[in-house]
Amino acid sequence: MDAMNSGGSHIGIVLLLVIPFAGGVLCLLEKGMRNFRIARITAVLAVSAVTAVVFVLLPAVLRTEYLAYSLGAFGGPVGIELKIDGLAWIGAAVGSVIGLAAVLYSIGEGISDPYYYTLLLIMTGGMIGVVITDDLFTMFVLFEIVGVAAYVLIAYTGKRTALLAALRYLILSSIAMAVYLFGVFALYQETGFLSMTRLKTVVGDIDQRTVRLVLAALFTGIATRAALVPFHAWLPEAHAAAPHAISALLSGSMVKVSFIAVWRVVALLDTGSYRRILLWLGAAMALAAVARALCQSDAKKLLAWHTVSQMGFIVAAFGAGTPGSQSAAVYYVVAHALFKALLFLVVGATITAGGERDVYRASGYMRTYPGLFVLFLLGAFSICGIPPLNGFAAKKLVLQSLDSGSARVVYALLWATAVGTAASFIKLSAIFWRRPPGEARGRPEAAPGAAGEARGRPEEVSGPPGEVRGRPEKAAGAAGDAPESPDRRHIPVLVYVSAGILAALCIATGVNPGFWQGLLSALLHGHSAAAGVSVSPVYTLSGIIESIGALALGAVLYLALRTRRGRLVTARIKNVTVSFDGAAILVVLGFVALGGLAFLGS
Amino acid sequence: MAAYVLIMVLFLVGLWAVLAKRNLAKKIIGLSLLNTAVVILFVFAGGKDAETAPILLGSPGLIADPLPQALMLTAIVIGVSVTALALGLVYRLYLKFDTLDIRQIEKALHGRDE
Repeated sequence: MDAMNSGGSHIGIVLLLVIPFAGGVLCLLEKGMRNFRIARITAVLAVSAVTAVVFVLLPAVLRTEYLAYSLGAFGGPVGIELKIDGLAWIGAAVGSVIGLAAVLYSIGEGISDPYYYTLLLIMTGGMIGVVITDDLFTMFVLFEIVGVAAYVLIAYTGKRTALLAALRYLILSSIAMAVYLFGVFALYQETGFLSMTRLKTVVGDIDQRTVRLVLAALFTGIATRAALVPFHAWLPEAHAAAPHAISALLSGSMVKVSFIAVWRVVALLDTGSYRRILLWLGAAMALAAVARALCQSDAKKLLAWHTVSQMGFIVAAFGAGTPGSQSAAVYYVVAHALFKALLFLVVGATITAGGERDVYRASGYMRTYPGLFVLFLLGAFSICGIPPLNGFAAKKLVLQSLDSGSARVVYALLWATAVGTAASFIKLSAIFWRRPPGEARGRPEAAPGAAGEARGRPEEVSGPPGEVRGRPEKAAGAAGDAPESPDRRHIPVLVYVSAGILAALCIATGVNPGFWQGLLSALLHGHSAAAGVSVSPVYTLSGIIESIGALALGAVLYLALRTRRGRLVTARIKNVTVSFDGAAILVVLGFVALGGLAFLGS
Repeated sequence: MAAYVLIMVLFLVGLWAVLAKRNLAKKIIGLSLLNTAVVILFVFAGGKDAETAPILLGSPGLIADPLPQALMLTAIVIGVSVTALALGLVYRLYLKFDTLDIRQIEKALHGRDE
């Protein structure tokens, strides 16, 4: 059975796990030899090597349905099989490229702690492992490996919010993983298999109610990692509190590989109802999360809510279930990984250098950091769906695939989300173009906006006492670094390099969508089937008009929210928060609802 | 059947502790119980009364399925490491806030972003 469609064993597959894990251990050698930058060198080499191996594997993956490797040559039902098919390859590619950018950026930011790089490599390796394993229990182990590394990295700064965010994530995913294990148990009792390839052959023979219950359990476990509503409540805090490179890694790749795992489990066990749920859930969560994003005052929390919102696009496209929508979903996975990681890195670098992360107070970064502004614009244009960047192509493909029947409602909801996205990125971009308050007073006619913000500020200022205490230090540090201008800080070259790589990829995957769509379809459905999926043109006049329309309406929405009433609404939505216990209760309720569905369904 | 009910009770007690206890250390104990309940479930269902341990020395008699036991060894190790990490985080939080009560911690953070 195994040999049927397999391209045989390939040593490269196991290297994808060995290189990052071994690299992670090697980084620790720096503890003994402090004079050498072993950790940083090893980290760069390891992620570069993994990226290289991933791309070396591409032709082989394209030739066959999948490549397999049996760990320890055990074989049979007890062995652990690694398997790379098209979907897994895409996950591995995303994981390794974002990992590379994250490592370069961390070095640029001057992080030298070997433990940090060890954990970063382990997390990258674990994420690749999650997508290439064929075995549900091994997937659990790898999820926990990713998780443990992620908890520590989120808490890395040691700030109060970071510690609490890490603990919240730990508790949520531990509950979810216990539920996941229960699903694994039920499946093993019923079939005696844990390998997804083997399960596929027997899943039709077992009691459908059990299958649905198992799916509910597995889905709860993985969807918590993928931050699908209602399992998402850990994400905004964790993304906002983590070091910038880790935010990029969490948002760019961890959430994506978890979604790929959701994809596999749903594809394996679902008989149709989950996809229908996901179609609507995706639309709802895209819109709800963008409303939350629009109301945030913390720059990184705003980006974090956008991750939930953008996952909605992906989930909705996946839920639509047609071959075209599947490749659109994958396109969106790749595009969002690239532009969201870019945005986190650029905004992170800007607020670190500028010392102010409140969207209402930061100003004038365009003049101090023009390079970062250009990179930010590329990312922001991409997420807002402006041609010729990959966000435009991805958004159009998703919307096109939903343009029929009742899915048109989803189409409309997602388009409304695009309006909100545009509005919130206009809001975020104000940290670059808004004039510093002192200047605004000097030239009142030039900056009515800044004056308006100044009026709006008192509501927001009440905030964080701890953070305010922290700020003067940072400002002082900035002044010390660059004597020629008091608020200008040197941006390390590697920060530009890492963000530049991602920006270049955003452009590269945007200008020629036909090619990428063809490649992704071939990876996803195989060459013969891919030929049947029509590669629809993305750069149509109506598509561009739709994009411009969303942008214009977004600008209107932004202006509307700047009015007095708008600010009240914003503040109200911002204050709706989920408590620590509430987040965990949401996960449990989500599972109970899905489990209930298993019994209610025919 | 009674055993399954007991396991279920253990699971629910753990879940209740995680969700309802205000003390963070007790929440972590709850997580441990949750994890243990699943481990016991695997091990209990993985073997029947007459079966012996799956150690193949001579001729294999009636042995328990070794796979669930092997899996659970891994799960136990993971559970221990996650618990240790969680306790580390809780301790750091205690140092910052001088309390283990989650509501007080959230109150102390209130007004701070979210």
